[in-house]
Amino acid sequence: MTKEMQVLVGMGWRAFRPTVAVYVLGSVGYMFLLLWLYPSIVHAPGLESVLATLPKSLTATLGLTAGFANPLAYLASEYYGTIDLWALMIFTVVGVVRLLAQGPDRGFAWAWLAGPVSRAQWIMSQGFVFILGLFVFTLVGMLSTPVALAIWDRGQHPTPEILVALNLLSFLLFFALAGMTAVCASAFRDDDRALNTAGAIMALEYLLSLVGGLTPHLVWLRRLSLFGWYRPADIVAHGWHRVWPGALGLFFIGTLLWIAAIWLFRRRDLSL
Amino acid sequence: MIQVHRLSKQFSPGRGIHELSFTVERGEATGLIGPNGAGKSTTLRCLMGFVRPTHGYARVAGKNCWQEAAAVHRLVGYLPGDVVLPETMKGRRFLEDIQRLRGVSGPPTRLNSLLARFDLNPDQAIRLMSKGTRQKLAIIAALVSDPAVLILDEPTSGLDPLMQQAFLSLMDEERARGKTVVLSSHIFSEVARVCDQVAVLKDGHIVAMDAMARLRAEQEILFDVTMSQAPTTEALNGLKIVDRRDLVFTVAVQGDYFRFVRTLANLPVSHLEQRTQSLETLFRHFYSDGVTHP
Repeated sequence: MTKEMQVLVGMGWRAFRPTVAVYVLGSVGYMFLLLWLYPSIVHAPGLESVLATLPKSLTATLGLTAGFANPLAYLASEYYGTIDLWALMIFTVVGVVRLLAQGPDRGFAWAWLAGPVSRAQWIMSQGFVFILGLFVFTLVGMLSTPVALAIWDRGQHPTPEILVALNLLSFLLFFALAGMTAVCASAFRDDDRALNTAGAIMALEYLLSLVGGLTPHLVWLRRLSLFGWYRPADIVAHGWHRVWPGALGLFFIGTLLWIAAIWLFRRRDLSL
Repeated sequence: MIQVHRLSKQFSPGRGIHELSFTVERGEATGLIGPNGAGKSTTLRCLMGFVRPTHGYARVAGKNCWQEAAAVHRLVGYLPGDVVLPETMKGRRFLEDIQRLRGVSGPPTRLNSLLARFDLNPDQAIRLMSKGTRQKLAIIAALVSDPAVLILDEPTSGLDPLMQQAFLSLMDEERARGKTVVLSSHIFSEVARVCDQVAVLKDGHIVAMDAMARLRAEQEILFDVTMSQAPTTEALNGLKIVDRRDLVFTVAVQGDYFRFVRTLANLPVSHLEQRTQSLETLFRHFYSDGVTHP
């Protein structure tokens, strides 16, 4: 990394750090709350029988295949499969658009882009800042899981492999979705439009994954969605061995999307 | 130092800049003047590599502004026409970041000198700064690394008259130090003060490009001359009177100031004032509808 890029990364991280802190604290706080509530949920009369009456496709769609029999399965469906996903979706769209699009589109990035850096260096530095934020988000979530289980004494200590697999796939999923958002940020000359478009695509991807899980006939819809690669309940239920194809696929797609975003940004006009 | 050759940027049909060519030698200052929409900012953005030319090229120190933008930026201090700054920062932090990015190290002598010259307190939050203060901050940001080339888009926009003079004095000093300057403005007097040559832009074309002295001779200046008593018609011979209200005569002068002053010397003049004229009025011969692009 060149000296100029280090300066850009430092500036970007200084601006982005408070946002990362808010999301991380909110997300981890919610994880602690979920585990605190776990005994009252698992001991709710009739919950298992209600789940048993639901069609298998619906429990799969809702990420409840592992049931609520143990706290990790509960966290996989209610935290990793729901709240964490939603928080990361907002974090990704808002964060990437803010770092990559707002400066050039609203005009305040002139001072940095008129500096001795190429456009590729600029967008790579901002992308690096986002990925660093995503890494911190994921890492804190991963380290908090055993801590939260221990604090509430839920009697289960997840294997490191399961924890790493859950968080690695989550990281790579949002690395790829951030690449898609970066493409929107580079393609449009209006950050509001980039935000709306990337948000709509992400919501559509999520919806495809949900609907694709309802029936075997619609499973092809799930395959169209990046979210289809990430099924936390399955990882907890079946182990971490099957995550590598998904991890490699997400890494490959994400890298391609980021390269496309850099290519587009290098060619666009800037009203600075 | 700067070569612009058949530079074109097409936006919507008819809009943009078309086949602009000019050169700026090392140590020279060139002004781009023209009304809003004439293509001044687009030309400067091409020089910064922010806009990709549809045709032609711009070079700074032999480097292509689009293909080698980072190398060009090492030589250039840039001020945009519409200054937008990061609202969440303080002025000092912003300037320190610029210095670090541009590799400025050592004691902040130049920064302190610029801050003193523009009477700017950098410890204020940018969001609390007035338009004029933001403009001063942006000017300092463009100059703080002491670049060899200055590309400035409407630099005095938003500055009060005192600060406009401070800026123009600074430009005189930078010129004396051998800096190459390209600036745009729609205020002729500003360009006349700083520049050696001027390109007059209209609808994205250069309609005139000439040395400042020659262009100055071509502009038509209006003076309101107030007489203490009505002069005879013969006494006004040699003056181009374009309007008269009672004892106030509006006289148009184009180049021949000696004749103008000599004639006035024999008249009962009680007051003399130069009219503020728009660019279109100053260069009506370029901006009239009938003028075709060269």
